[in-house]
Amino acid sequence: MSSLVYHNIMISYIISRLLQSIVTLLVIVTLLFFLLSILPGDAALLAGDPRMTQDPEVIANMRAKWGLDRPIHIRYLDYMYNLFKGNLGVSFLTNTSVNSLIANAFPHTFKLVLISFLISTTIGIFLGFVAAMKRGSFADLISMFLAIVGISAPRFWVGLMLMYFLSVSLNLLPSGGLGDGSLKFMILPAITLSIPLIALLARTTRSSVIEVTREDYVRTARAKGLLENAVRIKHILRNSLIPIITISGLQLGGLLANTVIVEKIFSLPGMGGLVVDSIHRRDLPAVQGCILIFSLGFILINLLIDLLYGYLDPRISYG
Amino acid sequence: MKNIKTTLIMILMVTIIFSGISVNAEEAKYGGTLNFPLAYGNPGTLDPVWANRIEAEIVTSAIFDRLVKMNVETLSPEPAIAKSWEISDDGLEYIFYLNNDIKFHNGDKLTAHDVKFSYERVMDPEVSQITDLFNSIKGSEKYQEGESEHISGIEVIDDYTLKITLDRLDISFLNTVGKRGSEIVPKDLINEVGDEFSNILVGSGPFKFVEFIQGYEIKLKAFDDYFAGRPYLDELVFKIMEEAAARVPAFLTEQIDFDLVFSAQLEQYQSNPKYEDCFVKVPELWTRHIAFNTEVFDDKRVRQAFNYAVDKELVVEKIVNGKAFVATGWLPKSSPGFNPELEGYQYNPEKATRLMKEAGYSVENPFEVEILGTTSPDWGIPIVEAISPYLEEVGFKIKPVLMDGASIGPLENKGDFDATIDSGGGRIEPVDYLSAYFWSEIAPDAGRSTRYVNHEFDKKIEKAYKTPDFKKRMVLVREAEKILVEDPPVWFFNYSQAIGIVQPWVHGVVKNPTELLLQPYDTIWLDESSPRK
Repeated sequence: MSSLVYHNIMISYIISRLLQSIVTLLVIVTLLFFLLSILPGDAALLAGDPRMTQDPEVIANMRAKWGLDRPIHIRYLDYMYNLFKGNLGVSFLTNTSVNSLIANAFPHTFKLVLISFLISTTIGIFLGFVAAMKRGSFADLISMFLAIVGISAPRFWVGLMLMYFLSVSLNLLPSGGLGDGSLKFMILPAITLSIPLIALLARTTRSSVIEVTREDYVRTARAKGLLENAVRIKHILRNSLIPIITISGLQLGGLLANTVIVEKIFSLPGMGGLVVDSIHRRDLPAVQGCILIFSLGFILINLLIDLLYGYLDPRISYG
Repeated sequence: MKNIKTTLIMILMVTIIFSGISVNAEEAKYGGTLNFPLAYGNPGTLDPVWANRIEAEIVTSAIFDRLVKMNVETLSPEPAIAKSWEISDDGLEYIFYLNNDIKFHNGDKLTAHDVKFSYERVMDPEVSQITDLFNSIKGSEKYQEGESEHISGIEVIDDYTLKITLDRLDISFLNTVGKRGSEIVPKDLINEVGDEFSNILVGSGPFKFVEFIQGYEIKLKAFDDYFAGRPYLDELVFKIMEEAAARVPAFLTEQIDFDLVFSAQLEQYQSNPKYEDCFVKVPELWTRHIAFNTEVFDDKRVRQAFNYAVDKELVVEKIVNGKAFVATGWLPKSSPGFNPELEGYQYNPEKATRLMKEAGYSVENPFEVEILGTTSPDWGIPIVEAISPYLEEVGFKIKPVLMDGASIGPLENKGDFDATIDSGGGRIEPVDYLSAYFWSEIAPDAGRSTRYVNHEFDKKIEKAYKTPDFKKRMVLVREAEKILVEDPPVWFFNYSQAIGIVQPWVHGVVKNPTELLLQPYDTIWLDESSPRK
């Protein structure tokens, strides 16, 4: 297959995947719209202090202002029309555009997720690889034990423990907030977010590497007299990467979702905090906007992974 | 001669003693930044016409001023923008005399025209979320229906004199002009910038608005020309932190200067000897209770039995960690209408069993009830779970149902519930505090979710609303509350106590029973030991 033909196949594959993604997104938006509308609770009731009594006329006025008094199909069509124009609507809670809310929150979350992903993949794959190479050793035992702990420990608890240990007791790192925006404020949240993924990747890498080590081509490579390091990196690691990448990709979506907890306990102004606040206050446009962005992220990551497969394993075709 | 000498020595000694005292009492100092947590979460928007939640009021109170402000000790109004006021004998006409040297942050002078504009803006259904705030002002209805351009009851007599006429007696009117929604905003600026005002927020309060990062923080800085004198702080930063578990490490690492302590965090702070003298405690204007849907709980004896069945003292001590006072009725300790002689319901399981039996229920044939509540450890499902064994012993069968707050409201409004655990009150005027939940004039979807009707109680409330004299009104309030306790629409649980913890370098924090997070930010100051000075 000439490279040009391959190139064309790739492009048409990407285009068809993107088209599929649009359909997926449309389904998600629609489902979400109707699900949220049957959710009990009312943004207008929550605009005032829930512990205080409120005038029903005031509530009705607010519902009318937000268009909540119109029939649901009209609201849906209106929403979709605006969506196609790239307008996610106006948040009930802040009275500002959802676009600007997301534009302000997204960079914080993106930074957090990116750092966590880099930490998790580097440490996780390294640990797993070492454990597999030294199977049965003390290092293997310890890293797999830690992996179990890492997977089982709830992020909320891990975050608070790190906070108490590293910032309250030792005063090494700030316990939360953005501070001056420097990297040290990201360390604790990023580690908290990474730990379960490090653990999972270490375990996946270990079993995948062990499996590949038993393959004939590895034995052949060694028999050819290749240097051990070349065997390990070129033959073993590269061939073990497919399941690792799959897990990483799926979990990257998970990282996005878990920012909800981490951003709350570390008081960071990202998408996670935004979506929680919006759900509590039934700020429908903001919830919809956030979930749309989360879904979009998830879809793009999956597409990226599928493309990576082909790069790593030429046997996978996109025809 | 000797006498003169003695007198001189005496005078000298007295002078020394008193000068010693004045040296001891530290003088307030300027400068520094106060990091103050918004423990209830993100206010979203700070425009007064949208700021109908306490989250927002905590911040708007620093940026804006109102005609009057509440004295936190007496809970009565004292001068703010208005330096004095007169009320006509029939209680329908108010004349406010404004300070004539007040400036907005943009330099504009604050006049009676701004007050009129602000009040009309908050009543305008096109822009406001709090359109019921000034319902009692004459002409407000016509204004809202678009029949008139202005509210006829608000008259500007001259630049610094304003007359407000009510169309009915409103005993809480002075409270209303001192609470959220009634902030004074600059007329000329808003006419010029329109909706953009919510992003620039210009008021006449002690602090100027600098920046609002949604979900994170709100930054303000001192307004040098504040009419009551420049605030001590240079900067006031509100940190949005509703996660109590996250506020504790932030306080311990000195990133925030104050924390509102929930019962779950109390022990952690109390066990730290460093903070022994740093607690601020105040009985709040909130009554924790379980509201009965009286259409389900239609037998008074069942409601009384519920009240007799539980050992509240023990629950408050063990579950609420002593962060409350056992309720004897509806009006809490900090309310001007509190009745210390009210006995309420003492723990009496025998009497509860007997009442249940009379009503036809027993352990074998229990009264089944679903109680809705949130996860709140102080007034949520954890409390319901703790009291269930008591109730089941006398013939109830309790099913706790955990829901989020947003889902409970609509069910209450529709009457689709048996009982809910909740916190109610929050009003300074005792008649309002009583009527809001139980007066049959209030619609079930406007707060009287109990659907409680007691005509004797109604009569007292109606009479109290027509009694401008405070003392006479309180007599009626006590009578009304007695009726309410005898024919209970709720399980009277406790009057909550707010507990705050303050860093040792912060001075001037007050015990505000309406809300501990509402502080006089202009008189708070920091000494040299603050890390932000």
